Amino acid sequence: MIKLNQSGQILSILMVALSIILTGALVTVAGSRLFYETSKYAIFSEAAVNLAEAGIDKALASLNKSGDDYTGEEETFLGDGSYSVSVTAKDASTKIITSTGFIPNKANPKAKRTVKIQMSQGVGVAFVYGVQVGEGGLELGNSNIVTGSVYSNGNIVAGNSNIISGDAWVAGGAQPNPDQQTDCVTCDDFIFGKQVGSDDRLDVAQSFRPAMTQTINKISLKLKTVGNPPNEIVRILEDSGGKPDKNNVLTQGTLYSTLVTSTYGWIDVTFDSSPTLNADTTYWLVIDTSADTINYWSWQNDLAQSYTAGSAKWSPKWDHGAAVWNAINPGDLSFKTYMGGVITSIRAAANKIEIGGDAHANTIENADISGDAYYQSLINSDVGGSSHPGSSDPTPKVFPISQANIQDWRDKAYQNGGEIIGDITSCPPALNSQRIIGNVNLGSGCSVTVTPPVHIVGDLTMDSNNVFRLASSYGAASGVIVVDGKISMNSNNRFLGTGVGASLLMALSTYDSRSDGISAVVLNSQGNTGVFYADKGIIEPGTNNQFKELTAWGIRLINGSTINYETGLSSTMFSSGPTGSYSIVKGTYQVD
Amino acid sequence: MMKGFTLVEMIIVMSLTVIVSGMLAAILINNTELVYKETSRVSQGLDLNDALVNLKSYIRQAQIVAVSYPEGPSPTYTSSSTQLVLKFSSLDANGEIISNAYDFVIYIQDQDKLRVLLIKDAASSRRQFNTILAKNVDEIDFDYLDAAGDSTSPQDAKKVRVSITLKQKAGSKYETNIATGEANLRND
Repeated sequence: MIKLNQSGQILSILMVALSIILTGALVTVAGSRLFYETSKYAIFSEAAVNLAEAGIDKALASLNKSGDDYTGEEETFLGDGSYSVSVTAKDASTKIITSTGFIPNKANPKAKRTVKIQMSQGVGVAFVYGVQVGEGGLELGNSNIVTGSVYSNGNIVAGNSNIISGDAWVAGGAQPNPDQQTDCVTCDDFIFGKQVGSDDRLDVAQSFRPAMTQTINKISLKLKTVGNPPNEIVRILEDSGGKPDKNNVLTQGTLYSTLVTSTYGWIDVTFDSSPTLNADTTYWLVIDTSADTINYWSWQNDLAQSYTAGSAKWSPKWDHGAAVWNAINPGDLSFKTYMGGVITSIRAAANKIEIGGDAHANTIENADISGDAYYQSLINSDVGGSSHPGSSDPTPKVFPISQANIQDWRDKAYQNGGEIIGDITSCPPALNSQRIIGNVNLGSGCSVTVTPPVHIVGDLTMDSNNVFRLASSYGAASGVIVVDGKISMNSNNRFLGTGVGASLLMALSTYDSRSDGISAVVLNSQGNTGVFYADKGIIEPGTNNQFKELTAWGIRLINGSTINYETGLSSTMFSSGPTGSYSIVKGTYQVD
Repeated sequence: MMKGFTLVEMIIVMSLTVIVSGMLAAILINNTELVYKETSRVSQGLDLNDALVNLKSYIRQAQIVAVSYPEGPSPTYTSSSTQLVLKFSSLDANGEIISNAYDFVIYIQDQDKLRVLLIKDAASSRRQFNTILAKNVDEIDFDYLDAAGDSTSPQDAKKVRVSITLKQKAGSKYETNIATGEANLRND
């Protein structure tokens, strides 16, 4: 018999099935919703980072425009959101900028991200090598020890029983005089790296015809900057119908923007390789930039067009399918080209030089190399690693500080503190940022606080046990004493930074040893410490001294000396004092 | 008198039952499949989102793309299309840069997982970690680009583009999702 109250089984089965389906649907919808929300947040927070970075750009422009008057902003609306900026002083020349981007606004943010960065009045310098030597080369007498690596644009000449513990590089040599050059007769600016009127002047080129068939070693360009443009790529291209040929790029190198200042200076550019250029053939030097309305470049232009073997052109994009090149008329952009082909070497006397790492040079003679050897000719040498005969010569390296940087420090010293006339002969408690027209001649035991940059027009001479210390207010920043004459010292003299971070105090001599052979910086033995720089001069580093870094046109070690140094001061910020313009301190970008 | 069901009635009822339960089963199976698929799509999407946010943040803050870690001969990790080694200046307790000291953040594909490691210098205040960023990774591809966006070697990179492919069995089929992101090295 069928009982009526058994009906409804179907309904309960359906209910169960329905609830399974519904649960599934709900899970899916909830998951999608979660996904939608996270994706939306990811997009918002990306936009917030971009807004925060806009705030950083604004802060940099404002600091350079109004100096210390700019203290940040509460909330500025831009696009789909807003940003707020706060500026706090870290030390005398460094500001910490904290910029937060909000979507859609600060009061009710759906997303916010904060970018923190430091800005400093000064120029960032990267010392990549412990010892960097120019065309004057490295001369070692007998029994000297260099702990670390050496990069030299000139010969390494050694007596007996010397040791270089790291790698030794000797670049292929440059001809002493430029092969092609032009400077302006009727001088004008050629602005590029931005839109000028309706012209997208992003890539600029100057052609030249070498007088000899030879490898190219380096070039110099007369440039200045407005704002802080980034590093740019410079290429050498062949010519095709009076235009740079984008399909024939011979080599490229980096134009370091930190070497360029707001006044014109000759800026060296070296290349990744050294292609051979043929005599009486047209080649183009091309600078490749991207558009930036605030940070851009100017190349010195000669309205008199006094260079007869080339012309100047600009293009919106040099490597575009059908690149359009427009003549700069009238104009020749100031440049110099230096050809290579001078054979350079690492050469020691009969008791071989020991090289702990790799050796790179055209010619290597009397060397005992633990690592690999890269060369054209190897004479009477032992190679522990592998040998690479037929290696092309290493390319030269530009120095980390340009003439324009040095002139800028000189100018800033004068702007900061004016000038004093006369020699300083007794211990001053402080050397302030100013121009000193005279010599600074100290005896012994002085303790001097230095507020950089200091410009000494004469010589800097001292006996022993003097301490120069960078004023503590400079924090992690570094400072420089520019000496137009010679620097000489006896023993136990110390040049010290503030002790914070990588702070250092550098003594820089611009004395030119190239014609008279007289050394720019002479240190006696024992206990001298510091960073010394002589871009046109010779440094005699003495014995038993401790160096963080040495850069010179030439370095001479006599006998039984030791150079110890700390490698790779990769981001040093040299303060230019209160009148300097701000730039971003590399390596300090952080995003929360 | 009790009357039973006729054969015809029985056949109708039984076939109706078969049809209805078949439809019900089909709906249930389809629904389960859909739920699996959507859940895995959502979880993959969330993984991809997290991974890209993490990658972009570290790429932004890196000093350079390092050739390898440790730097020098016989490295454990090497920057390539499947591994990314980022180099950072070490920071002291006050957040100041320590000169000559570096920390490394390394992204590697570890079987079907995307793993991120931070290996710090002894003096650094950063915290070391080794965590899984995404699961079910089928393929990972790092592209190293210069400022103009052209391909270059890892050590010359100004920006890094990353694309991650996740693949997972969802129900009877595989669910595949690809995400691509790009970030500039701001500290370069």
